[in-house]
Amino acid sequence: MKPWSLLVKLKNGLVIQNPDVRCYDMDWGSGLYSSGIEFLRFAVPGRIFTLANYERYNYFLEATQDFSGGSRGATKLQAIYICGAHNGMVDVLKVEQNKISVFRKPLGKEYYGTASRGWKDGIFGSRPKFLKEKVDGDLTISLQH
Amino acid sequence: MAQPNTYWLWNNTSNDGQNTGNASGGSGGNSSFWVVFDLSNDKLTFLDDQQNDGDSLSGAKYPVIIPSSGSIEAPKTFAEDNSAGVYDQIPLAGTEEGEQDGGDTRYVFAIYFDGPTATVPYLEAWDDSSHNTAVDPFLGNGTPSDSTLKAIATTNSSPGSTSWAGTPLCGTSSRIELDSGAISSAKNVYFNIKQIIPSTFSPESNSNIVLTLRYTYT
Repeated sequence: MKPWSLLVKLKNGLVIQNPDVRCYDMDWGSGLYSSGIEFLRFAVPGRIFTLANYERYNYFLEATQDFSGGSRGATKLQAIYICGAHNGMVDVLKVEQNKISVFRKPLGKEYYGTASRGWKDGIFGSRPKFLKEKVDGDLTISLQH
Repeated sequence: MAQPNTYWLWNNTSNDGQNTGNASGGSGGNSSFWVVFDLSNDKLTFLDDQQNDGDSLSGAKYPVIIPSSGSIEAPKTFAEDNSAGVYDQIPLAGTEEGEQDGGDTRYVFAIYFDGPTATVPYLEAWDDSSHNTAVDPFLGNGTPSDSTLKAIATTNSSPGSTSWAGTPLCGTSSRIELDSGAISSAKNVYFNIKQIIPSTFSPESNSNIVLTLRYTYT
């Protein structure tokens, strides 16, 4: 997988792959994911993360827009969030400029203590898996593309 | 959902009414009038009572006078409208402690989202657009509660008091949620903002603070 690509495998066999989430829409809000998510896999420079067997999944991007003079105004991507929810808790993968963090929060508190919307059903029956594998290549984490 | 477009606007009247023109602004509810900020070239400025609505940007600029004791709310609030070349007053900004028509006012500043968000949007303030630090004297000199900028979300109700306190703006340490949750469809969120200057204030000559909207989408 190339860095910044996101692959989602669905119960109905469909595989949805976004080549670069920093600039392409995942169509997360559509009915594409209604059959249930088997797993998703997200690649960043040097690592591939896999989330599987969660009850629900969520994915969203964080942007900022500045105001008050100068060269402000443009929106800027600040972080990519990929979440897996299980048993009332959420495992969060957050990718920012030069930084990757993984943490666990109660469901409904996954974003700075507040809830996110857009959750998609998963397919579970066994323990959730949150896997990280290292891959060769440049390790620079840049949200700019 | 795709990334929403966002538009910042101000109400340049003393009439407390909604931005019914959404992204375009213009005539709004209750005879209000909404102007769209040019985020790159306009500025939000807190000034002394000597500054008047319609003053030319090329003319005199009257900064807030630091009091000899206690603190003062900036008497007037303006949009430095670069395209019009004037200080356009925002009369409903602030509280009754200012010298304009602030108070329990609701429709003062708007940010119009033309689509939904994944989480609640925030209004923040930072030293600059790198968003690495929020320690400017205007933002409390390292103590968030001392930030001179206080804001309050008014999307769902007015402040409830003519002398509302607001939340100090300072990075992610102290900020306001602009709505009660994620935005589900296109809408305006509203806020009011004031500046409180204490007698102990000592500004830096090169302050370049920014107001920041933070939101998420899928």
